[in-house]
Order: sequence, then C-alpha cells, then structure tokens
Amino acid sequence: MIEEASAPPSPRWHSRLPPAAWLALVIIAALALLAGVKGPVEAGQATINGLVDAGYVALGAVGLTLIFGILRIINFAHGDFLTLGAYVALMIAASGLPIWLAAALAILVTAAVAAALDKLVWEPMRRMQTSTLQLLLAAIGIALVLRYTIQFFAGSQVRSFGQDILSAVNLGPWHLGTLQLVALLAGIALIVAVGLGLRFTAVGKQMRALSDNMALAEVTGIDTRGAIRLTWIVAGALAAIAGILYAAAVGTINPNFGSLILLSLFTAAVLGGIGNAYGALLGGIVIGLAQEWSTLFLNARWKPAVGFAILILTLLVLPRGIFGRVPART
Amino acid sequence: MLRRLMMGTLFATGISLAAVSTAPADPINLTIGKLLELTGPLSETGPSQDKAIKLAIDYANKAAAAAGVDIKAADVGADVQGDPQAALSAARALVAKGASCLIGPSITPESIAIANGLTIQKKITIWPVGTSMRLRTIKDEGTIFRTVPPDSLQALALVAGIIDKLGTASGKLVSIAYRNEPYGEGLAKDFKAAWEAKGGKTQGPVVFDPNQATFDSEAGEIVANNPDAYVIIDYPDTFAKLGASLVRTGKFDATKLFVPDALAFSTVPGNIPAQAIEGARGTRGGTPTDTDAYKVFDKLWETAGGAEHFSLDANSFDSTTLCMLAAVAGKSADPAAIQEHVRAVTTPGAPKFYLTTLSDAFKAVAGGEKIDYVGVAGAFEFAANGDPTISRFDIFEYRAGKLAVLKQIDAAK
Amino acid sequence: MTHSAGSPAPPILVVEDVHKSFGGVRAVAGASFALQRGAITALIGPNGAGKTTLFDLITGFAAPDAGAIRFEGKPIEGLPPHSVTRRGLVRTFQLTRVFAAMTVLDNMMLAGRGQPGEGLLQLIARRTAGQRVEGEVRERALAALHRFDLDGKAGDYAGTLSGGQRKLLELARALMTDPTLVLLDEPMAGVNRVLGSRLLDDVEELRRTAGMTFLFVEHDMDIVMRRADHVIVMAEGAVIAEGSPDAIRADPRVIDAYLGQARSRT
Ligand SMILES: Nc1ncnc2c1ncn2[C@@H]1O[C@H](COP(=O)(O)OP(=O)(O)OP(=O)(O)O)[C@@H](O)[C@H]1O
Ligand SMILES: [Mg+2]
Repeated sequence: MIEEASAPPSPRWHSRLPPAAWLALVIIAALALLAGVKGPVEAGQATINGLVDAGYVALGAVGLTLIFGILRIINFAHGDFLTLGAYVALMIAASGLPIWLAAALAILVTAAVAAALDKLVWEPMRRMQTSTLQLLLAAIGIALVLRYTIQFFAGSQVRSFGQDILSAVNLGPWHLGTLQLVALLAGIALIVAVGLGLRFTAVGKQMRALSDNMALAEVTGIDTRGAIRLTWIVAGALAAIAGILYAAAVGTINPNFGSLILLSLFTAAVLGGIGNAYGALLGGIVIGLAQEWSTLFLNARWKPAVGFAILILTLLVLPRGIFGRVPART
Repeated sequence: MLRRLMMGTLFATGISLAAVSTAPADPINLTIGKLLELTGPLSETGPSQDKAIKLAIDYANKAAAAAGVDIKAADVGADVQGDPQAALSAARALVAKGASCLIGPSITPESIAIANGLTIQKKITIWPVGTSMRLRTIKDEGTIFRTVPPDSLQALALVAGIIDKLGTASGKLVSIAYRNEPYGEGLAKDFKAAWEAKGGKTQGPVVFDPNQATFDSEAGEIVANNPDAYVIIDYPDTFAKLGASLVRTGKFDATKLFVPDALAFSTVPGNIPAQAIEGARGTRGGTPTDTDAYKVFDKLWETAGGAEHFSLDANSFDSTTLCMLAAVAGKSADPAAIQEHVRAVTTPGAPKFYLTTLSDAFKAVAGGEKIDYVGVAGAFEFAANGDPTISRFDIFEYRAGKLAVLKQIDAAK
Repeated sequence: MTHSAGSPAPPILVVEDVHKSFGGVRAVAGASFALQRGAITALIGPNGAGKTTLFDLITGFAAPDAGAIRFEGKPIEGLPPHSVTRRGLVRTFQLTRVFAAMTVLDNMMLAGRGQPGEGLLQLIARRTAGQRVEGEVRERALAALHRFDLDGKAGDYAGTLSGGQRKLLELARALMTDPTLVLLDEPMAGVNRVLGSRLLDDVEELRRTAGMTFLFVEHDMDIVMRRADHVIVMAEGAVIAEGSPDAIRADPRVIDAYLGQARSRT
C-alpha cells in the first residue's frame, strides 16, 4: 500500500520516525568507524560512490514501488521502461534535436506507452479480476516484448549519449563525476517531489486511497480508472527520467541494461518498504553504501552478494522494510 | 585438329584415371558452419569473422578445383549473441543445415555449451576463437581444435610486453584487474604466476561484475599504491564504463595500462574514453605479417572490401582451410572422418604447404599423403588437447586511437 | 421533465426488471421497484435474496445482464461507480470498508473532495485555489465526525478503529459526498443499540432537513417496523411484496418467505 512517509499531525509521529532516524544513526556510526579503520579518504570515497549508486537505483525504484503499492502489480517490465526512455531519447537525439528536447520527448513517449499498456493489457485484466500470477506473467511478457522491440529498432550494440563522463568534481581528497552528481541530485529532488505529491496533492491522496481500498475509492467518488492511468503515466515518466539519467551518467548502455538493474530496483523498493517513495531512496542508500563499503574489505566481485545479504538481514529485522508499518487491523 | 582432340581425350582420361585411383568418384559437398558474434559483447568481431571464413571457402574451392580435387564447400551462419544458450541453439540450427565443421565462437562458455550439448555426441569438430584455458581441460573427445593461442601463452606475451616497457620485472608492482569471467580469471592467474616468477610484485586482482552502474570503487582500488603498470582484462562494453571511472580517479595513467586481445581494436570504439586507453599497450594473437601467405591473405582481404582486419581473423581463415583439407584427407564430408584426419594435414615433420601452395596441398592430400599445412597465422602443432604449442603475438600500442603493432614475439611453453 | 400539478413527485430511483446471474446462480432475477423521493425505505429478505447484489447493480459495481435502472430520470446502468457517486447516489458496504492506512479525517476529506464534475486535471490545477476549499471540507468533516462521536479519533488511522466505529465512519463518509440518495447495507450490524438508534435519528433528521432519500437493508424487524416509511421484500432475486410496514407484517407471502425465518432467529 502507498503510505505517507512523514509524520501525520498526531501524537503518533514518534512511532514513525525511528526507522529513518535509527538508520541515519547507524550510517553515521558506520562511517565514523570506517574512517577510523580505513582512513577518512578511502571511507569517504566509498561513501560517495555508494551514494551515486543509490541515486541510480532509487529513482528507478520509485516507479516500481508506486505501481506495486497502488496497483499490486509486480512490474517486471519496469526495467525495460528505463531502457525505452533512454533509447527513445538516444534515437531522437541522433536525429539532431538538442538533448534536452530529446529527453523531454522520450519522457512523453514512455509515459504514453505506459498508459497505452494500461488500456490494452492491465485494464482488461483488472476487469477480469485476474490472479497475481497472471499479472506477473503479463508483466514478464511485456518486458520481453519491449526489450526485443527496442533491440529490433536500435540494434543490440552498445550505445552512448556521448556526454562528457570524464569530468569530475573534486571535493578535497574526494571526487565524483559531474554527471553522476547531476543524476544524484536530480534523483533525490524527484523522489522528494513524488513523496510530497503523494502526501499533499489531491491526486496523491486519491492514489493512496485506491491503493488502500479500490471499491471504497469508487464510492468516494474517485475516478479510479483515471487515477490508475495517471499512476502509470507517472511511473512511465519516472522510469524514462531514470533511464536517461542513468545512460547519460554511466556513459554506455545496451538494450539489456534496464532488465539487468531490475533486481537492484526491487531490492531497494523492498528494503525501503514497498509503496513508499522515500523508502525507495533509503533502500537505495542502504544497498549502495553497503556494497561500496564492502569493497574496502572484500574483493569487488562480492558486491552483488553483499547487496542481497543486506536485503535478507534487514528483512529479518524489519520484515516490512525500513518504512513499512505494522499492518492495520482488519 | 584430330591430334588436339586426341590429346584432349587422353588428358581427360589421364585425369579421370588418376582421380579414380586416388579418390572415390563421389564429390565432397562440405558445409561449414559459422558461429558468429554478431550481437553481444564481442559484436565488433562478427563481421570480420564472417568475412574471413567466406574468403577461405572461396579461395580453397578455387584451389581444389585447380588441383582437380572434387570438393565444394559452402557456408551457413548463425548469431551466437555472446551467450552460451544462444550459441548452443545457433549451433543446432547450423548442424540441422548440414554443417560438418563449426568455426567459432569467440567466447569460451559458448564453446563449452556447444561441445557438451551437441558436438561431442555427433563428433563434429569445432574450431573456437576463444582463448581461455578452460578449453584446454574439458573432455571434448578430440572434437575441439583451436588455432588461436591459448591464454597461458598470452600471459607470457603480456609479461614480455611489460618488461619491454619497464626494462625489468624485478621489484615492479603490477595492479591486476579482471571482469568476473573464466577468460579473465584464467589469464589473470597465469599472468600473476609468470610475473612473480620473473621477480615482479602484483596487487589485486580486483574482480568486477559487469552489470553494475558504477565502477568507481574498483577504479580506486586499481590505481591505489601508484603501481608501475596495470593489467586490465576486460571487454569493450564494460571498459567503456570502467575506463571513465579510472580517469575520474585523477590518478590513472593510460600509458601504464596493458590489455589482452579482448581489448585489441584496430580503431578504439568511440564509447571508450580516449584518456582511458591512449598510449596503452597490449598483446593479441599475432599473424606473422612478413610471410608470402600473409601477403596473399591481406590482398584477398583488401580486394574484398567490407570489414577491417580484426585480431584472430587469420585464425578463422586457417580453421576453415584446415577443415576442408581434412575432409579431402578423409574423403568425406562426414564430421567424424574430418575429425580423424585433422592431424593428417598438420603432421609435424611432413612436407610443408602454405596458402601460396594450397592447390598442391589439396593434390597431395587427395593422393593420401600426410602433410604439414602452415596457415596464415603460423604452423599448427595441435597438442593432444587440440591446442597449439607455440604462438605468435603482437605487442601493440594505441596511438591517436589506432592500434600500432610495435613488434611480434613468439611465446612458447 | 415536467409533470402536471397534483400528480405525485416522480420517483428518485426506478429499477425495472433487472437480472444478474453469477455462473448458474441467479442472484437477481427480475427485480422491479421505485423509490419515492424523501422516503426512508427498508429492503428486507432472507440471506442470499440478492439485496447486496442489487446494491452493486444500482451503484455500478456490476453491470446488470438485463433491465433498466434510472436515477433522477436518467439511466445509470453500466456507469462506473464514481460517476454514480458524483451524481448523488452513494452507498455503504455490508462488509465495512475504510481506508485503513489513512487517518479518519483523511477518510472523510477524501469523500468531500470528489465533487461532481471534478476531473483529475482540474484537481491538479486547483492546487492553489484548493486551500480555501480544503478548509471548508475539513470543517464539514470535523462536524460530521462530531455528530457520530468520532471526533476524538480524527487523527488516528482508520485501520485502528473498532468494527462499530468503522460502521459509523462509513455512514459519515457517505454523507460527505453530498448525496441525494443513500443506500445503506446493514448499517446497524455490530453497532450498539444506543448508537444505532442515534444513527437512525440522524438519518431521519437528514431526510427532514436536507430532503435526502434512504434505502437500507436490515434484518432486525423491530427497527424496520419502527423506522421505515415503506418496505420492499426480496426473495430469490425478485421483489415479492412491498408496502407499508403494517401491510408487510400482515402479508402471508412475506411471512412465508421471510418472517417465519426471522421470527425463529429473534
Ligand atoms: N460475485 C458473486 N459470484 C457468485 N455468486 C454471487 C456473487 N455475488 C453474489 N452471489 C450470489 O448471489 C446470491 C445473492 O447474494 P447477495 O449477497 O446479494 O444476498 P443478500 O441478500 O445480500 O444476502 P445477506 O442478507 O446474507 O447479505 C447468493 O446466492 C450469492 O452466493
Ligand atoms: Mg447482503
């Protein structure tokens, strides 16, 4: 379910704050410890690298978490939405349009594709009240169709926006890529915007309402069909932005990149508490930091394994993720 | 007029008599399967591989016809996509179309999947372009023949290349990194052993997973402690990202970088940042360029147009030629007969034949002789495991985005 | 629509020969009736008679297989539920529904927002002008919560309410949509008697002051006899009788189909 992240105006705020605050404390303590053991330069650099990772993953995970939270669809095609956004932007940019215009058009196209898929696939399936398994298979089917369509039109070779990925920002002994910084800041800004939008705007409240109880949302006068479509449009647009930022900052992509990072996106979404925009960000940060910090002690080949170990450990302690709440009585 | 006619008849009879006495009258229709890397991480190699095999078939068909040997080869091709599963189904498709020899693929796990899943049972020879040491030890029942230098030899070439630059190995620190795959793992291990045997020091290896967004931590570890050289065993798609991360560390010096054949390109791909590779050196399976055979090969290549030279293109060319010679020796397009006769056309000590004398080679083989065919890439002395025992390597340097060969060396166990 | 003076006001809701089957089960089989504007009508019938299904058909949660439904003279069969709600026809659910992950106040305010004709885009555009509307909706919501003794719970998650409190919240929330016709599916089930009768007092008052029309499903015959102006009896998917409470009490068909069973229960 979609949940608000910050404290509601009631004395219960204290029961919601601790996970995030607790996490911040753990992160700061771990950073201090690492700086003591490995030196501030190395520990700081690993932290910066971890945050960059987190930025990539979190923005991709927000759309995923929205779709699951509101529509209960495990959208295996979400990674391919990222690919679609990046490739449409690449193709348009290749035709000579300025990159920002190409990106804007690609975001529109991806959102339109997401809305069209809702109309053609998800809405009929919703009307037939299909099971979770059928929804899952439909999502996997869409993922494959998208991927091979992209491959058909764009070829499977490695492509790039040709942005300058070498320039770096130096902060004393630490550095990070300029585009990485841009992607990170843009990602955080968008995630906060989505979180605020869900909490404060009428549409956001309607989305949360229909994720909570679809039939009741209907009698409340909410146009659930429209709100669902809007959810897909937002998720599609966010995926496209994530894909474009990723492609620009990482430098090169191929038609598989979205499906390859899908697992990380799921990890971040689940770790943060599924359905929660800030959860996706925090989940991304935990995974990113854990993986990059691990390289201070372990060979980098263990990075993916460390990510999943963290996921399993966190879920043992916090079964509903960092921002997940105890289920309401029913 | 009558005399000429008689002469012609006599001549024709002589030929046909000779043919009857040395070979069955059945013509050999041989189908050669091309397992091409058209998509996937090594897709840059696909077109040149394809071209090399086609040129070889063309040339050998003509040479055989000139010798009066009745063999006609044709090619069928499929994309292996850099993926073992796809490679296996590609191989199945080619065998269904009648392929008796399979040339390629370039990635070792693909070769292993094909050997285990298909070719061993059917006794079909496979001529991989993959260089990994794992191919040396798998139980292939003699169906794998590799004309390309194995990585154990390339490791020695890398050592030689670095000593060439640094003057000595002793006391010099090399930082090793590889993409987490059998190719890198095997080559890194062999290199480390060979470098330390020469008195050098190593750090790492930093092993990285290709499917990550960032390689900044890995890059930081590679450049740590300011080593005298880095050996990075990687493929182009990952190195586009890792290379950018290396440059961003601000401590990376591309002229200290040494790379193996998977990062050898005649022109550096545009998505690899120039600062990550300009001035770097590397090794690749070398083709002796001073031979007459090479000149013929190069001329064929240039007149045909299309794909540029790529490392190991001569090996694909030679594999195709050897397959055809073995079919003639075995008097059949039957895969098992070809497998049995590969060594008959690469027998050490037997009379040597070259590309320039391929017609004569066909004639000798058709006559039942054992020969030692020396390919464009050099002599093939297949060890019991189907690997070559000596290989030529190029030592190259990237200058203005282009590969320039500095020298060639022979690496031998 | 015009009608000559002296003839009775047209019915607010007309249901004509409506059918609905689920596989082999004929849940509603030819039900017909009309609701008088401003009346409190009870819908009774044994378990499984098709009452809830009929509510679903009227409010757009299911489309009838055949038959016509007209609200305020206009056909509404096949409209999506939210359009029906926006026209002023709202319902509650037999199995109570609340937005469990939202506060009680948000539950109320959400219903107050979905005004007729308000599209999503308008809602986005309205963000700035929205503050004023929001304040007004909040006041109405707090007043309604006060009326149902829920004002102390305004900041709590609706998921933490008791079963009875949820019933109250459902009615309060339904009223927030400014309806002209309210369908209540067993509103008293699980609510204590004092609160339940206050709830019905409120219903009567709303009918009197705001002219709202009510149709409610109820199994407790005492309540039906005391509170309803008119009673409709369903059995096996069809309306078998209707009339004043006294007439129904005396109708042998009703006794046969329903009251015998009800008596044995009470
Ligand atoms: N979605 C459905 N699928 C299959 N059968 C259904 C469905 N909905 C209702 N029914 C069947 O239709 C009949 C009428 O059910 P309904 O819920 O309308 O009865 P009711 O009069 O509201 O009963 P109660 O007084 O117990 O609430 C029942 O036999 C029920 O099993
Ligand atoms: Mg019912």
